[in-house]
Amino acid sequence: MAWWEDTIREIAEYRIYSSTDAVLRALELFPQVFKRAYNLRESLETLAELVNKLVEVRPTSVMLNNMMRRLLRAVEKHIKAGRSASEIADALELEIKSLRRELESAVNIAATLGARRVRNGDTLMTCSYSKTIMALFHRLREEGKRVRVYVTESRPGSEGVEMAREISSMGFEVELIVDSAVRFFMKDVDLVVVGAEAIAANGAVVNKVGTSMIALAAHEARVRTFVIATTHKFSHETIFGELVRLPIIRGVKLLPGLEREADLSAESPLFDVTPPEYIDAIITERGVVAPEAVILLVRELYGWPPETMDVISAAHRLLEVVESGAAS
Amino acid sequence: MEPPAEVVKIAEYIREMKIRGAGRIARAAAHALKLAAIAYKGHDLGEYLEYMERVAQLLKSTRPTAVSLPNAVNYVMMRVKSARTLRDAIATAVRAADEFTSLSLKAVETIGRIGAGLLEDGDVVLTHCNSSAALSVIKTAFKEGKKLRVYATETRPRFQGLISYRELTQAGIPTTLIPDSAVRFFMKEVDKVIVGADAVAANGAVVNKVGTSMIALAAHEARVRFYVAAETYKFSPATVLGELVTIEERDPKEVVPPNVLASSPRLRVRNPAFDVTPPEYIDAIITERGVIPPKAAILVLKEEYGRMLEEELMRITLDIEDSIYPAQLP
Repeated sequence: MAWWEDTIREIAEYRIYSSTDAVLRALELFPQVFKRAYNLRESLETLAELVNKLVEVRPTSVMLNNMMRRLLRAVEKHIKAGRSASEIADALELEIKSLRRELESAVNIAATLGARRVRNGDTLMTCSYSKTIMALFHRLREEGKRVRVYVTESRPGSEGVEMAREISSMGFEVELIVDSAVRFFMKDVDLVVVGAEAIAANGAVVNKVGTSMIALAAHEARVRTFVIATTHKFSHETIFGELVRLPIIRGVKLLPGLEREADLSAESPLFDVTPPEYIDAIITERGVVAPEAVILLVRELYGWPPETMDVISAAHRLLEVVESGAAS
Repeated sequence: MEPPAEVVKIAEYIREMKIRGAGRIARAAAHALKLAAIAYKGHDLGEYLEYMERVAQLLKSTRPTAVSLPNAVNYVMMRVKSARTLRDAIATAVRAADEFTSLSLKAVETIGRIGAGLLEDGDVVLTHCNSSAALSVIKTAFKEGKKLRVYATETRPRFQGLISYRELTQAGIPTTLIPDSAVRFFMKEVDKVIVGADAVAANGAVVNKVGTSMIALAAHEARVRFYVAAETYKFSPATVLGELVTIEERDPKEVVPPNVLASSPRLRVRNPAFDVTPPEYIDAIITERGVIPPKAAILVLKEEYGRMLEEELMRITLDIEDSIYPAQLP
């Protein structure tokens, strides 16, 4: 399936820095599937393949999983209503538009709540590249709060450099540091703010590797650590005992400066897990809560226990839905 | 007389980190003093001593943090200053420099032998940056037949971890390079951490490559033992007298390419070369004189620099007494 390869590769190789952006790019492939196929059956086969592929390349992205689940549910509804492939494509486009709006507003609400915890003159520390953290700084600028921020370069990948540049171009005073200098500067920091790739049932936060080091150093220095993340990042599966899988990159692909050392035996996780003890609060679009209490928000939103269908089998099941529809 | 070109070149190499590592720069400085002594063309002891002092200052000024540098220079200069004739003073410089170099090299070997006892068969060891003393411990234990596996951090911004990686791999030790940010992720797998030191302060705090204190913290959290391998000439006598170790901050261009800085005028880069690990996170310091708890650093300092410290304390005492009882006697 050549047409989606480029996008898949961008997602797989983490060239889209923000996890939210990566999710939106992935979802935009869904209506394409229905537009390009000759008939509904073929499009559902392709869809199952696409879902497989996305889960394979981005296993940690809980948000991707949650959003795919919503699209698949919509597809099922439309099939049962007897819609054609092209009608489903249009419906999905609308659905994605509303998801995008929902995510954007959620990110902005969380950022607004987060900004309330930042005082004028504070020194912050953050890492990696996060759309939510960028939204926080936009909000701070709107409120006229002057802050200084340390940003780690965030290897592997070094996407922290890009975020540092963007925040500095918004007019904030930004100090870029290497990942190992976090503890050196921690004494100077008032508040750590980071985004999240996923939030587990116990309140542990999966985020760019290095986050747990920052949280640990903050904890040691009695500096508060806030995670800003919308509830879309909550991993429903972890309620039922699943672990969030952390991919390990081998070799020097994401280690700028070492590209020429091709024979090197190098290993790096892309994410690490910060235990809830080191997180003072998770700031969501539904309010500021202790990490262990995010699960309560989830209950309010989705009921209890939340439904956790596996997206891969859900995608395959759609074919059965079509067949049973055809039989009846 | 100006310092000879060769000596100036060594000073430049130390400053630019072409010669790097606390042990190596100490030996290079001793060697530079030897070269300077041999190159002296004058005929006056007083003039020679002034000239040597200038060379000493030049060498000491290259890197502010490494205590090994002034300790090496002082080791030679203290002996030179006690010479009575010019001939003797030149010969003393040569002898003292050679003596320091061989002591230093032997210390690394002895530390290797002593430290190897702390590693056990099957251990997973993590090391940071590139320390000859720390690697000597790992390599000696491996040669003794202990099966080891090593994680070497890449050590941004200058990738000294790569040198450790190569050295260990060449010795046949399975080694994996990891980014500095992944230390806590891998810490659960690690049995022992061994790092070197650029300076050991009077209270047992260790100044070493930036990131060391993060690693020590993560090791402490995971109850992983944390060892520092340090020759006694890395202990800082100045800290006994209340001085702080200066932490050198280096060029931003080590962290990001100049074009990034040029295109983001408001972006600043902070690039401290070292950090301070508090003694609470250090299980032991391995010196060539034995394994000591970090808080017993004063033991080593008294032993190695006792006379110098006494003299300094005496000078301070006299100064204070002079200011309290000013000129009572005619």
